Formats: sequence, structure tokens, C-alpha cells
Amino acid sequence: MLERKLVFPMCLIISAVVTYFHWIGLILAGITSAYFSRDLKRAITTGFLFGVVIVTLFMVKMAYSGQLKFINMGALFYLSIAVGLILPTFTSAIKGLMD
Amino acid sequence: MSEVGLKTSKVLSAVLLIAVIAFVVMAYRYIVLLAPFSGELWREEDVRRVASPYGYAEVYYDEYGVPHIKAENERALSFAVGYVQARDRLFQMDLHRRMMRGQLSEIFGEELVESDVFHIKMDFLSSAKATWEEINGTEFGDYVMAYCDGVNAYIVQAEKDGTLPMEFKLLNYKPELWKPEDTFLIAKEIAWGLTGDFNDIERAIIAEKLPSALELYPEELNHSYPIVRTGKVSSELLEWLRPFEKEDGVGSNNWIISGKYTSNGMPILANDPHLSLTVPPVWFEMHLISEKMNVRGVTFPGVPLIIIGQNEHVAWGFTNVGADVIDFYYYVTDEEGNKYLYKGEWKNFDIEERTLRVKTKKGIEERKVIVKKTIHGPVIDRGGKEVAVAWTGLSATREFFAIYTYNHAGNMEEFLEGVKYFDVPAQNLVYIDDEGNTMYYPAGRFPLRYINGKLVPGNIIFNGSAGEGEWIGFKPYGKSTWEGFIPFDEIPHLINPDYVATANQRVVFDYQYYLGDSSYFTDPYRGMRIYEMLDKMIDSGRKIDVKFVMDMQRDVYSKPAEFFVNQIREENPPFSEKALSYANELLNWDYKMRRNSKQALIFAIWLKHYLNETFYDEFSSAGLDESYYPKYWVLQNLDSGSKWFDDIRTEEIETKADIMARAMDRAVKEIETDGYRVYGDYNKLNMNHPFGEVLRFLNYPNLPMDGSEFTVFNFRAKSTPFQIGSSWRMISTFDKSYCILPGGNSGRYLSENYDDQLEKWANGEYREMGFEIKGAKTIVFEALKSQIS
Repeated sequence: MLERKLVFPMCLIISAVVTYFHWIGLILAGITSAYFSRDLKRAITTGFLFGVVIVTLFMVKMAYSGQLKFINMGALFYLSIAVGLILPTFTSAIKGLMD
Repeated sequence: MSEVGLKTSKVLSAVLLIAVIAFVVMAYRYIVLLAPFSGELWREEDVRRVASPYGYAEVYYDEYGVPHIKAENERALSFAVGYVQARDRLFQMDLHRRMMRGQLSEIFGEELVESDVFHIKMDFLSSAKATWEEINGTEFGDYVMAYCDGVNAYIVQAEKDGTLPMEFKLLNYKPELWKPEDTFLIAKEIAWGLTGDFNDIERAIIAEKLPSALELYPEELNHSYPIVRTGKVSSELLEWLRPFEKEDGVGSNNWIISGKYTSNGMPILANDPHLSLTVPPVWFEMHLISEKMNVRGVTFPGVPLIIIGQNEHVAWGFTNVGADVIDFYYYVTDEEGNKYLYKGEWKNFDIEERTLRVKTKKGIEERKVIVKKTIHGPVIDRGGKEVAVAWTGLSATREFFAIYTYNHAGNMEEFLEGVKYFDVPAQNLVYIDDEGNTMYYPAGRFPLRYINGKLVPGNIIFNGSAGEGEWIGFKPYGKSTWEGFIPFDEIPHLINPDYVATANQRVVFDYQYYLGDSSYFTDPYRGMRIYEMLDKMIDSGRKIDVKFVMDMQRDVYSKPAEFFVNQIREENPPFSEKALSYANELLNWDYKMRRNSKQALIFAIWLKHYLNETFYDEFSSAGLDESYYPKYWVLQNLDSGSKWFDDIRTEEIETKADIMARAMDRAVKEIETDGYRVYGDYNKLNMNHPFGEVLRFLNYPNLPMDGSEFTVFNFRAKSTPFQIGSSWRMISTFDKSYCILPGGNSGRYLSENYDDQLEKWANGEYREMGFEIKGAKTIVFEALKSQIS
């Protein structure tokens, strides 16, 4: 229980920090979600929420640095958002194979 | 969980995992580019300190992204300029050098092979190298070397940090290091873009196919507004050359007014070059400060100088003279085509095989291109026809040294020293200084041609084998001595004129030397209008100030509208009922080409059809398309009963009035079919990035525009491949100066300065162009003491 309450968020934070420097952090978050979640549904939900948080923080960062117009970049913008959501969400599905 | 549920979740997991693995494998490149936070596309250029082998410099960026660069010495300045230009415009720089080197298809594929073949055959690269050889070892040569080092310092740093401009990442290639000849390739590109005409070939084809039309291309257009008011070719060859020719309509306005007529007693200079409207803009604005100069204005990315601008003592601007500085030669050749006859002697063609690299689906494919030259210049060929080209820019030329001198000049004497070195492209140079002087000098090299010892015009294809029309003292790809050109002092010029206006119209009438026939100079409408506004103001006794000059640059009064609508009045054409209501609109109009005007819309479309309806029948039957049509000034001056108005396809004899009426019917049909309401619906800005077809966000917004090709506020919506317009508006004084760019100073899409000036420019607004350093200190260049020695 303690492990889940403390180590799980810590691992997600570490994944977020890694994501800042490399997209592998998104995969790491998915694996973390799978490892610490009780079931597949929760793992996928956590992975997806991680993606949402990352995408939101990314947009805040872009707005802060005066680059919010990246939202006008069409397919490139959508692909960026898709990468942020798909990688942690889909990777967290590894939970189903761990059970 | 039940066994079935467990099985389902395992299947689902497996599917999702396979999907994510497939996604990573297939979209790997895009993940690396676009992942939130870490994506290469989002990496910001964040270098604050750069080691410079030349000394200390610092860069401040103001709110419009204009770098103010201050350095302890000239080479440190040039190094910083190189770094900054690469930071803001590296992809544009690379694209232009690739075009001139003939290397576009290596990146963009088959579509650009013909462009590469043309540029390789013309061998602009060798002319750039010859120019560099001439300059290398001089103080200016050192300045250029330092610039290259600055560009390369940025390339190395950006590659290391993953901060190369977006375009390189999307195309997945890296730029080569910048060489001195690349800077001079930009010089050749500018010069070719302003003087690379194939008018002589066009004239030869008209003479062959429709000889009676030669009367439509007179030696001189019969107007009274000069600046100074005192069978060997084929259409197949020309069609191949057309895309690489100077864009029709490239031109400019500039004028100067001496202190005698200004409100503060000091001269004013205005300049707006009409060049391709590209994304990012063709110009890059900078402010450069060293112990020897304090200069501000614009340059072409790739060039470490202020090309148009001012320092604290002198200001200058350019328009294109448009003179004929290109000739074509045909030869008697041997059967194998390896030798050509020259003044009774057989000479070998200088033949070299070059490699063209083309990107294909199977990877890079290497193809051979033959570069063939004669004593006169490179040979261009198509469809069994070949001619050699002599163009002043193919020699080693020193125009950048001239501009280097302008940047440093403190008075007219120093400035004039530089003017002597301005070889190509021949430019109408206007000048003012803080001592109250004014000057007009159409600087450049103007060749003289002889046949049998007699001076002849250069608008024919010369017999190269007989040595006809060749330029004495000209050496392509080498150092010319220029003795067979108009002597500098004999070029018609004005020192301390009260006021002068140039708008690419003929320089002077009754000049002893040939400068070009009417096809080389533009219709006189803009020049006429500028002089009209200046004359009126001066005759009224009122003094001219900057506000008045701004209003002049914003002027959208159309002289052709005034002339042609008056002709409609006089001719009283037999309009159809519907056309009459449109024509009546024109009769009650102020002739201003405003975006919200219906009359401007009707006139613009009617005029286009009027030209076509007049000449289409004769020209199309001779196999000549609309690109061969004569100028509007010629159309305007045709008599009511001119044979050109008769439609040769009908039995009746049509007159000017008939064709005017017919053109109005066509105009009404086009307006109603396309649903145009006002001029701005038709006259729209369409400025696109080279990737704009795929990545539309890179294009500038499409704004409705004022102006036309004949108004001072210049905009040519229908020019291809780029629209043409005022690529930089500048008003220089020694009090406060003003300027505006069509777009933004940064080539980086995510920058706030990517397109921040566009609306102001479209609305005819200005911003200040001063010598005060503004903005935040962004980059510091620190001296590497060990390397300075």
C-alpha cells in the first residue's frame, strides 16, 4: 500500500522529468502505470491521464515561451498531441500481460 | 476476473502493445521531431554566449526581431552578423545557394531538375568563385571570411544542440558549411534576378513569326517622363528559359528631395524595391555598429552588408535600371559540334562534365550535365538551337565592395568612390547626406556593341563567329577590364538635383549610347505619378515632410486608369446593356486602386481583357502566347482605327471601341462567375513558404490588398511564381527614418517576429528605423584570445 501511495507517484514524476528530455519518458510512464495499477483498466486510465497532464504542461510551456501558435501547425500539432497521449496510454496495456 | 475476461484483457493488451510498437517504428522520425517537450521541433535556440575568434560583440533583438549588433572591430562584427543571419534565416540562405549551384533536386527531387540544369549550364558558381578570387586578400575579403566563420559557428552549434531551423528537420538534411563563394552566389542571384532577360530572344522570335508586330516594341516608348528630364533561336529554347528569367514586373520606386523643398531644410530619400513577396521576406533588417560604422537597413540573407539603408551621414536606395546587359551569340560549328568558328579560326568549345544529384524514390541518382562555353560565355541549348550568353554578372564583379564602401561612407566623395565599383546589376542609385547633398547615379557596367566598327544596339542575336557585338574588356568567369563599356563619367547622372524620381522608366532620352529598347524599361506610369505628385507640391510652394512622402508611398492612384477610362469616354464604345452599367461605374471613379472599390475591380479585370482582346488574334495565330504581348503604354497609344484592333478571325473590321466593349463583356462575365464584389476579392495577398503547399501554416495570411502594378503603392497579385510588391519600404532622413517589411524579420515560424509586420505593411503603416540600440541583449560573442593572434 505504502509502495503504491508513495513510490507510484514518485515514479510518475520521474517519468515526467524524463519526458522533458526524451520521449522515452512517455513509455516509462506507461510501464510504471502498468506495474503499480491493480488492473488493466486502471493502468490504461493512469497512462492516459499522465498523457493529458504532459500535453497540458507542454501547452502551458509553449504559451509561456511565446510559441502557442504551434497549435496552428495542423497535422504536426495533432501528431505531437497524439504522441503525448498514445505512448503512455498504449504502453500501460502491458498490465494485461503481467496478470 | 473470470478466465474469459482475463483472456480478453490479454488480447486487448497484446493489440495495444503491438499498436504502440508499430507506432514507434513507423512514426519514429515524427516522434523524435514532435514529442511534447523533447521534440526537436520545439527546441529553442538558447545560446547566450558564443566564442568568437575575432573579438567581442553583442546582439540585441528589438520588438520586431531586428538584431542590433555592436562589435569591437569589423571582423568581430561580421562574425556576429553571420551567426545572427544563420540563426534567423539559415534555411532561406541554403535554399538560395542550392538554387544557384544547381543542387535543389538533391533535396526536392525530380521537379527541380530543369532549374538545376539551367543553373549548372550557366555556371554561376564559377563566376562567384572568380568574384571571390578578386576580393580574397583584401580588407573586405577578411570581412567576408569572418562572416562565413560566423555562419559556420552557428551551423556547428545548432547541429550539436538540435536547433537547426524546422525546415532542415522536416526535410531531414543538414546544411553544408558556408563558403565565401556562397555569399557571392547571392550577389549573382540578385543581379540575375534584376537583369537576366531573354528579351533579345523574344524579339528574334517575334521578328520571325509576326514581323509586323515589331512596331509594337519601339526603341523608346513615347512618353515624357524619363528619370533625367533633360532564326537563330526557337520558341522551344525560350520556353525552357522563361522560368529562369528575371520576373516580369520586378522593379522599384525611389526618389529624393533636396532640402530646398523640405520642411526642415534637409533632404529626404524614399525607396521601395518591388521584388518577389516570399516567406520569409527576401530582405533581412539589421543595425550594425563598429568603430568604423553605424549603419542600418536591409540585406539579402547571406550577405554581411547593408544593401539598402543609411548610416549617420549618408542614405541610399536602389531601383533597377533595367538596361540591356545581356547578349546572345550564335556560331558556325563543325559537324560534331565540338568546335565553333571564331573570326576565321576554329576553336574548341570549353566542355566540362558536371554531376547533378537527384533525389528519387530509390535514393540519390547521379546524372551528367554538360557545361559548354565559348569565348563569349556559357552555351544554353534546347531543341537543337544553341546560343552563348554574355552577361555582365558572369565576370568577377565588385558590387559588394561598392556596398561595403557605402556602409562606411561619411560624405559624398567617399560614397562616389564606391559607386565606381558597382558593376552589376545596373541600379538607379539615389543618395542623400547630412551635409544636404543629393545625387542620382545609374551605376553599373553598360556594354557597347560594334558591328564592322559601328556602334549597334544590343537587342539582336549576334553572329559570334564573325565577332559581332562582343564586349571589349569582358571576361566571363575571370577578371574583366571593362574598357569596352560606357565610361563611368559618361553615364548620365545628377549631382545635387533638387528632386529626382526613378521607377524603372527609361533613364534618359537622346542618349548617345544604347541602354536598352522599350522592352527593357517599364511602362512609365509609376514614374509619371511620382513626378506629378512632387511637381504639384513644389509648384504649390508648400514644403515636403516625411508625412507627405509616406502618403506618396501609399498612393494608389492609377495613371493607366485615368488614361484608359478617358479613352472609354472618348470612344463611347457600343457596350451591351449589362456591360454599360459596369462601364458607367468607371466613369464616376477617382482612379484609386483601393481594396474596397468596385470600380478598381472592374478596371483591373477589364484592362487585362482589353489587352488580350486586342492582341490575342494576331499573336495566337503566329504561335505566340500572352507573354509576348506589348506593353500597356503601347496599347494606350494605338489609334482608334489601328489594325491591331481588328479581329482577324472575323469578317467585320473592329475598332478600338468594339474591342473595348467586347473586353467589358468578358470582364463582367469573369466578375460574375468568380463572385468578386470588390477589388480586394481579386487583389489578394498570397505569400507562400516553399513548403506552403503541404504545411499551410507556414504561409502568411491572405489579405485583401490596395494597389496594382502601376500604382506607387505597388502590388502585383497575378505575378507568378511569386506575387511582386514593395519588398521593403523605407523613408530616410537625418532626423527620423521609417521602414516596414512585408512579413517579419525572423524565418522561424514559432518566433513572434515571423509575420508581425505583415498587416502594418499591407495597410501602408511604418515603424521607426533609428540608430538607438533597442531590445534585450540576447547573444554575446566573447573573444578567444588564443585565436586572435
